[in-house]
Amino acid sequence: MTDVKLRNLEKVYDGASEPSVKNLSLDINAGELVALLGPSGCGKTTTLKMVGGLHDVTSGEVLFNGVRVNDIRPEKREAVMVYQNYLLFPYMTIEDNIGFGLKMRHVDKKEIKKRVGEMLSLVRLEGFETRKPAQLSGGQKQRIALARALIIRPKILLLDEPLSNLDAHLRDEMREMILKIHKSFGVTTIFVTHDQEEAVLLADRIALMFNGELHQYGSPQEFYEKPVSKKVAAFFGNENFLAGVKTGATVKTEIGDFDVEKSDVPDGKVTIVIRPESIVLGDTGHNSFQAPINRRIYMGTYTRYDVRVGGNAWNVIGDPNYTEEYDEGRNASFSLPKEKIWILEE
Amino acid sequence: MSQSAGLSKTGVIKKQSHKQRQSNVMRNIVLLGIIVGVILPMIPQLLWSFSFRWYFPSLLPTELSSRAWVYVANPNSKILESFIVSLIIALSVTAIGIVVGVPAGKALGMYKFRGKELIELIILAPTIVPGLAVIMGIQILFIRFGLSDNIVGVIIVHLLPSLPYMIISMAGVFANYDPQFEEQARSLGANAIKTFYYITLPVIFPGIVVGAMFTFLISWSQYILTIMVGGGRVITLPVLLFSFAGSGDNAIASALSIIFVLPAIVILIVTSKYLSGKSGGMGGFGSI
Repeated sequence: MTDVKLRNLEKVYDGASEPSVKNLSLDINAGELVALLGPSGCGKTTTLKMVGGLHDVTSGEVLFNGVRVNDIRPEKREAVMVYQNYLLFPYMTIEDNIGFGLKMRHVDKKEIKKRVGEMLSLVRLEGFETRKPAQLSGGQKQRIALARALIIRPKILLLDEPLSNLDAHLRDEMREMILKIHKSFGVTTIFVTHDQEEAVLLADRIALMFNGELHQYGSPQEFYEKPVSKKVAAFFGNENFLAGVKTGATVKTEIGDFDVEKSDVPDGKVTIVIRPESIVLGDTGHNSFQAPINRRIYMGTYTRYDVRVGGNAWNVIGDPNYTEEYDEGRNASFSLPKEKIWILEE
Repeated sequence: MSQSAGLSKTGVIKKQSHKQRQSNVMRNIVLLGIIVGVILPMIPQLLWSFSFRWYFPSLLPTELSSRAWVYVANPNSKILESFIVSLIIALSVTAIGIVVGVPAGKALGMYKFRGKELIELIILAPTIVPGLAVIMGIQILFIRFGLSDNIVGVIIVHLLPSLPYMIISMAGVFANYDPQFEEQARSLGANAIKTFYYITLPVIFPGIVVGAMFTFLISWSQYILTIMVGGGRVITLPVLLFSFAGSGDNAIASALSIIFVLPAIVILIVTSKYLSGKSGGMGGFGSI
């Protein structure tokens, strides 16, 4: 079991004026499954490759179990990368692909054959030994790539966008397989994704990056309930913002005053954030206000309302069975439960 | 799950055998082309080389003789010597071509840099401008540097028309090459040398074969550049061939031309599988 610590990690590519990764510090526990999440170009893959030793570190440290590995070559790190486009070696059979890492470690041929067979049954592709990568589908290639990485029993598994090249139904299957493998191998796993849903479904903890900087690191739940900024909230699909001025446990806004729970946010200018599904339709007599409904969209299991709250466009999610009071164009009542309101310092 | 796996299994096998057939057909077409285009025209040459008398309207030589071949095999005729000189030159040009062409092709195929179009044009120029047009200037330069009248100068000047083919061939290979394959191999535990041997080489090998073949054959059949820079001191097979072809001794000229074309045929047959398009050895500048 290996833990990973990144200390003030920085990467500047040759000829680039801006660093791709800035002052990144991150602690990953042994056996943990962590997502590096962010839009494309945010430096998440660069970070992954620095952990794997495939890109040099400009400054800062990568530590495995407290030991600095900056200068350890990739082939000695036991941190194996699985690429987004699988990169199965096209000239080799599946058996030679999966056995490659063991061959490089001079493992006996018979032993390699046996362990390749075990890996193939782990990824449920028994009997594929003699095939060539070109004969495989995307999902199969992905599983072979995973088997090829796991056969050497790496200390750390690095996955680059493991689900993004797969169809919807294959994604579910692959997700289950990654979770299963992660559980049974107990291997510390870091994966990169641009898809917040993928991160939430897979990860124990998520590290959200923008422009090479870490913005928030925590459990998936924290990203929904306690985003550290409007940007983080928006990335997780919540743009229900309302500006106000906080005094004690009250926030004064253009549509009225709201009671909030005690928080560390100092008094002054703040922004209220609330999840679309936490808003109550109707007047509960507490933290209630009236707002016009611009659109109502029936979504099957729920109904979504586009509501104008002050100067902001809010999403509200309600019961699929709506009533006349909540028709498009109506001015309807909504309430914000005090404990669901999250406050951000402006 | 198991049923669908079984289905896909048979599907794949069918597809493979179909592909296999296709590639066999391709290979046979290439071989047929070699036979019709290269070996059939050699038959009259072969007859000529053994003829003593062969006048119109006889369909076959009226008198046969091994005179030409005896002459060819005679060390005094210097024909075998010139064969070896040609071989040394062509192999040296090929070796240098690979050493220069692989990195140059990698740079052109994989990297973007300023002035790339201009460099591509300059590299392609020798394939457009005939050697005869520039050889006078080259000769003066070579005399000044002591490169005329010797084999080193001839090797260098042969690189001129042959390097473009090596570079174009390698640029095509590298344009479709993903350097992440090397990273993947390193990550799985291969050191730099093993990575080159197991990963890089198999991918670029077809391109090297095709480029080397062009380079060898261009050097092998070079006449003007050899005469001008070699100054009559470096006697290669084409130089002798031209002089015999002009002398009117059809038998010896035919025997020589058969020797001359042999390496080409051998090389074509050996490399035909890399020429059939599928291998990626014929990519040109690719997608750049």
